Amino acid sequence: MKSSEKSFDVVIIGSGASGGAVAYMLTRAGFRVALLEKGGLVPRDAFSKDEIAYCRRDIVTPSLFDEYHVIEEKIEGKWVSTPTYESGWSFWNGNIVGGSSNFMSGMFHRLHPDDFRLLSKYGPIEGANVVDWPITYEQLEPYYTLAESLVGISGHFQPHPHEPPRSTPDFPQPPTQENGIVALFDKTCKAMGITPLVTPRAVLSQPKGGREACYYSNFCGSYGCSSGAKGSSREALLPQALSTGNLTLFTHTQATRLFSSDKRKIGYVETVHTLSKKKGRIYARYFVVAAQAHESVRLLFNSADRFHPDGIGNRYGQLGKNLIFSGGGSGQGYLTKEALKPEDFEALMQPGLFVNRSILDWYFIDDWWHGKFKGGLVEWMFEHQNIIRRAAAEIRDEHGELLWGKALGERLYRRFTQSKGLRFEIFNDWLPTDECFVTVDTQHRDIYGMPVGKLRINGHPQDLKVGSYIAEKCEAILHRMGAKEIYSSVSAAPSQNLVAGGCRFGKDQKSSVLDPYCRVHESDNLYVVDASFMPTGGSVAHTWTIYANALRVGDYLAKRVL
Amino acid sequence: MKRRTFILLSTSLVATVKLQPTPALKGLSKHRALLEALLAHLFPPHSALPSAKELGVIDFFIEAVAHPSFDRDIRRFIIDGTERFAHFAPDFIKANADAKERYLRRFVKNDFGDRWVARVMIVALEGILGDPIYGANRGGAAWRALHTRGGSPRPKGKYLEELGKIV
Repeated sequence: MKSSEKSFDVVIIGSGASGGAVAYMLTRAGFRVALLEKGGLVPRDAFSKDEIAYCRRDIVTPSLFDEYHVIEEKIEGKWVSTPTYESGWSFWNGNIVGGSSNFMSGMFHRLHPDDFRLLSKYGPIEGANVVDWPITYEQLEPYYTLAESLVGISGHFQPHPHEPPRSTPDFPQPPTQENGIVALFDKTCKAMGITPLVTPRAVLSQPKGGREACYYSNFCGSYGCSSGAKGSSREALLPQALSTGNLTLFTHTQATRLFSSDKRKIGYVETVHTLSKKKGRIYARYFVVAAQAHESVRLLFNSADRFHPDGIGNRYGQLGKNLIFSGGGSGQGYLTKEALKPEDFEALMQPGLFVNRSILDWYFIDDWWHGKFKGGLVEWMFEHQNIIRRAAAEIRDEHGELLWGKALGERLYRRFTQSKGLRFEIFNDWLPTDECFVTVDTQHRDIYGMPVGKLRINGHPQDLKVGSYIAEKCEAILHRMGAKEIYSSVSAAPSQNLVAGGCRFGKDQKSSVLDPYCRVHESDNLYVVDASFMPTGGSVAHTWTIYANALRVGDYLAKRVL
Repeated sequence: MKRRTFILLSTSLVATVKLQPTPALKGLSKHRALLEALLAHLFPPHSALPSAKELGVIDFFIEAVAHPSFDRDIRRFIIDGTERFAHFAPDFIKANADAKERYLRRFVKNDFGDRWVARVMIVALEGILGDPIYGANRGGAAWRALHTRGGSPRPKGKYLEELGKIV
């Protein structure tokens, strides 16, 4: 081994939610861990609310001309491939220490026990590869609870038929503060026989450790948190891991290939420094891949060798299969000065405070006309307060004609001072199918010379049916509240920040890539812990489940493997 | 939407001026007076928003489009469109407000012109409504005009440059 080559107990590739959780468990158990992150470390006090830098330029994600994906979509019956440098449709989600967890909105929900047994509960769906998980909710529950405590999830538990059971009575922190208009939302829902629930948030309402409570900046999602309130991996887990002295953080370090030392073992990971372009090797006894689902699959494909000619974990052709996203859609209506009571309007226009409401009533649907089927969750929030984005959405009139001059000025003034958008986002299962998967495209390579990930994207008709069913209910709530300009959009386009699957875990190595502890079936020392393990996605954002599962795997590695 | 495909297609179908590659700053600075007049017409005085002239949006516009973080295809599209607009409206700078309005309304009648003006407006809005550190939203004047405010903390430098190269 050269002096520039290093050796550890474990190498973790990726510092986001899952990589951070495994690093936390292993370093506290005394193991020497190397954590690789392709981006840099942004200190907390450097996170500003700069809309231009964070939201309108590729500054915390790679330039799409340097690193990109190829997206295959079915257009008029034919599969059409488009590199993302062509489309501008980025599938990067925050490449700095802490990964995309820095930029999440932090609306956290657990999966329901029935999400772990979807096939048993609802039976097969034609054209969809629905399976039961190899573990149960009860096995994951202690780690949901651990994540709740470590991340610092605020909320208030309200019993509901579709709320999963808990081993603790309530959340460790009370809910974050709410805008006064929420009273009108609650009243409206209750009048319609709908139960509004407080949304659990990975946002501190009270200080915790070295992290400050939320200061209600009015700009949360898409931005790093400058108080430490948001429960990112960088804030909630990595400081504790670093404090053990057992964690070595390699920033600007991209893993390009895993190298096998024999048929069942990885010997080292080849890296490239993203600034100097210098190559390196890091040796370890165990390797944990946590690079985000589609990038982890890409790394395994790009690590093909004589032992694994079709990619590591692909002996039975399962690698990259059953890629999933979050199905559903979104909608919005404007609450206006003219439609609200003066006191309600005044409350509405207070900046910063959250809506923090969820509806679980349609998580499982039993409709006299539509029948019984798995539904989804709805999150309610204000439209994103980004000022430039909101203004840019107003430069065309209702006929699509450009507006400028005084007409634009008046329109912007009305929009910003006389109304506020109330938004809903629907999360339902993106059913796994044979037509949604990840491979690599050897015709397209990134600036490091590695084939880029190629994502074939196709939704199942059931996803749209569920989303449309729920969107109709949500629009009715907005109508009842007196909102104007109500619209919703449910489409087969994926949410690129909610990607999962591709390394499905399961008991049968012929139909899965990972075993129930997320070890690659054909390897003794390689684990994959990001959302790629998920065989089905549930009908909530994946992040809490990613945290919980990675803590479970980390616990297993620390106690029973290493 | 295949954004870049559209830009390239529209370039080949609608092009009236064949462009040679030009460095970004040179390509924009050459038409500074035209762009300044255009921005002044799009964001005039006596509106609910402060005017482009009052805010000095032209300086932000040129700097933003020339900055390395700006999408290179959109930069090319903006420069290409500026050349075409200069060809289309050679006396735009000296024209009165009514004549300027007529020029613009005619220019946006085709798809390329419409998308170019929209893109120019969006970049201008980035300056007008972005953080004051970028130079155009002087003292937060545009935020005050819309009774809004940007987030806190505010950036200490433009484009996160104060942090050095992050990614």
